[in-house]
Amino acid sequence: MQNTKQKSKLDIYSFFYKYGTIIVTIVAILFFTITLDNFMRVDNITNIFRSVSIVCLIALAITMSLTVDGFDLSVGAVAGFAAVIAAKIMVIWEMSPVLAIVVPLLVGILIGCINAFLIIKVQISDMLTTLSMMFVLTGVSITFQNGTAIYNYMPLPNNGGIAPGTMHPAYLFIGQGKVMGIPFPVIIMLLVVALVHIFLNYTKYGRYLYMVGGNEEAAKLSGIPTKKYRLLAYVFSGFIAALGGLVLGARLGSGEVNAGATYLMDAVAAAYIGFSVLGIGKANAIGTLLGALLMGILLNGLVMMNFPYYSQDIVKGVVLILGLGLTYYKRRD
Amino acid sequence: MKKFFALLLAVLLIFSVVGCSSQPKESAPEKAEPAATESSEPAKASEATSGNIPAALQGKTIKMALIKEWGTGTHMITHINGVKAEAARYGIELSVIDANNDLTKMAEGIDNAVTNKMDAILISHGKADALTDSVTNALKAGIPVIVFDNDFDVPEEIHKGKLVSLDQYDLMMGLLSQMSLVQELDGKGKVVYNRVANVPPTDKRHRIWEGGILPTYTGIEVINTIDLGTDNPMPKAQTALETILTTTDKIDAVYGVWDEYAKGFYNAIVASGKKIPLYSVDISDQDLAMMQDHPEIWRSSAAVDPTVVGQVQVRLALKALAGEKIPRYYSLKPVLIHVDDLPSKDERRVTMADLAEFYDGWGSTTDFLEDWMLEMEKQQK
Repeated sequence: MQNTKQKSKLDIYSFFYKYGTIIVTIVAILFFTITLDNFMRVDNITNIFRSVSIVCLIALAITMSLTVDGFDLSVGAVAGFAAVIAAKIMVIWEMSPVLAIVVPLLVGILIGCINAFLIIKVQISDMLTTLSMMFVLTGVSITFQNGTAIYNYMPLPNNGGIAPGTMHPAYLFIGQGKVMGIPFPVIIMLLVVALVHIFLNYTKYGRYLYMVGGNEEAAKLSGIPTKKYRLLAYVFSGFIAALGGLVLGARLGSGEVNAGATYLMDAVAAAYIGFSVLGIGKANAIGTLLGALLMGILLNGLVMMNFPYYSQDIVKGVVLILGLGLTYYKRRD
Repeated sequence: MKKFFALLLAVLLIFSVVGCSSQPKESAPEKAEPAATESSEPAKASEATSGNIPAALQGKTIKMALIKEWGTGTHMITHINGVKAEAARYGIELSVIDANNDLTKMAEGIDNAVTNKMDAILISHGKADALTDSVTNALKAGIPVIVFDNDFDVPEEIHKGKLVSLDQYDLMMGLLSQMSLVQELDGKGKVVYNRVANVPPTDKRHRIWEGGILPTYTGIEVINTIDLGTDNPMPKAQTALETILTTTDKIDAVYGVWDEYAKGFYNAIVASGKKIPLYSVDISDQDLAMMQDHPEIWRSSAAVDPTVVGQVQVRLALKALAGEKIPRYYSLKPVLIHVDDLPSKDERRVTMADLAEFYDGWGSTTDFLEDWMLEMEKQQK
């Protein structure tokens, strides 16, 4: 008797452990569908997906660093920096949109390399390294154009006239375009989610990344070059963050100073929700997507319900606690 | 570990002090040199005229600190540049502190300015509750405090007439921009409204809407109010309005109480393909470029040139140091910048600097400009 009771109790826990965050998401969707007439409309659902695309990409960047048990706080700043560089290349330097896409991505990779170097070789802790990098990049992107945003037809300093270049339509398509009714940022997001998912689960490299994150000593003893894999994780992190920055810049249509910072905390939350989805217990792409969607659904519904931002934050925090609480409650015993 | 942190803090402090003071020092000798090498005649001439400059300001380098709640966004940059240019005009050493939306950092900035014996403190924005202590201390130390877009409840016997609350006449800007909306809607329609609560300037604008516009023009109906705080609101405002635009069928106008929001709103409206007019407060070069791109969307914005704010702030501080009487409250005159007043984008692109052609009182002002300030300026050359 005692035994069976124990067992069923455990089953409930493991059920919540697996499906806790999914249940919270479904409850949120049901709640908004019932209270709001226009929530379950195709265009609004498209809208939610589009609004989470940037958060999701930045969260995927964090996810990559989490696979090796690291942490990348600089992703928001990398995204903001990438957007500013792209704008500067097109508007001030009048160069082609191809460069405006390639150069920021290369910069993202470079920043990933620097982060990895500082963490692996200099052995500063990951949190502190990427925090410092965040400060540096935020500062650099503010001074990049003397603190102003970079936009079409901007006047240049020292009476230099009007900026010669404009944001190229091909670049803007990344953030504003649509392919068969689906916003292009959503396509990019789903593509990256799929690629990261396949990479992490179905390739040797992905599995090694998880092994390095799970137990670095064991991974090293079994002959995995752990340092190389940690480098790889940060490089991917920088690259995906820069990609998120391109989407951000194209969506805003200008290089806004410090625009990436807004997304950091939501992205961290999304990546950690991802941890718990389906009880996987490690950073993963599908979970991160779900986490980002949960945040996006909450924001969308609360805006329609006319909530001021501070109450939005309260609701967001409470829902996070609920979702994660359901998931982790089991770990008490 | 504690020792290490203490050491780190000490080093940081030293660097920040050196960092603050080193820049003006570098430029000071440059300015002094040409004066010394020039023939003695102009030097004599300036000596002769220096008689009119108030004794309190003669023969010393004036140091001022500008402490801002946030220093990003085109509008704020224009303000900083206005203060910098006006300070340079009179040879004032200026240090700028951007608190990056951190009120404790702002309070520390004021405290540090007192410790470093700044002659005057200029503040922009901030919340009164968090800063009143620091401001009171500064005033007790006899340092004039010129505040832009905020006010402090400090008794007369402490501030002794050296505290000024400057604003862009937000009540008037609210009225101008909101009446522009009412006029173009013929007093009737569904409006997406925007407010930013607990920020003095936007609160003032909101008071006009709540207490003046809505009770008077009852045909105006607010269908949604967007408030996303002051931290980097543009992308958030864009997402929020996109949500409302996709789920609400009929919107007649959008109001932006602050242009950082209006920029996001503008993007959302353009992306939606709808033609919804947008009215706002404040202006920047970026806003003007957007207005000209879609004159049917961004109709008007009520604004004061932030350069002028900077000019008046510096002049009031100088007057306070000279011992002259300064007002406790002062509001700068706003204008309604309407896209119909501006040339089309094909004709020419308009920037903030050009607005003086279209509106009186834009770009520079003679408010509080005294003769002796002009003489101080001459001495700099």
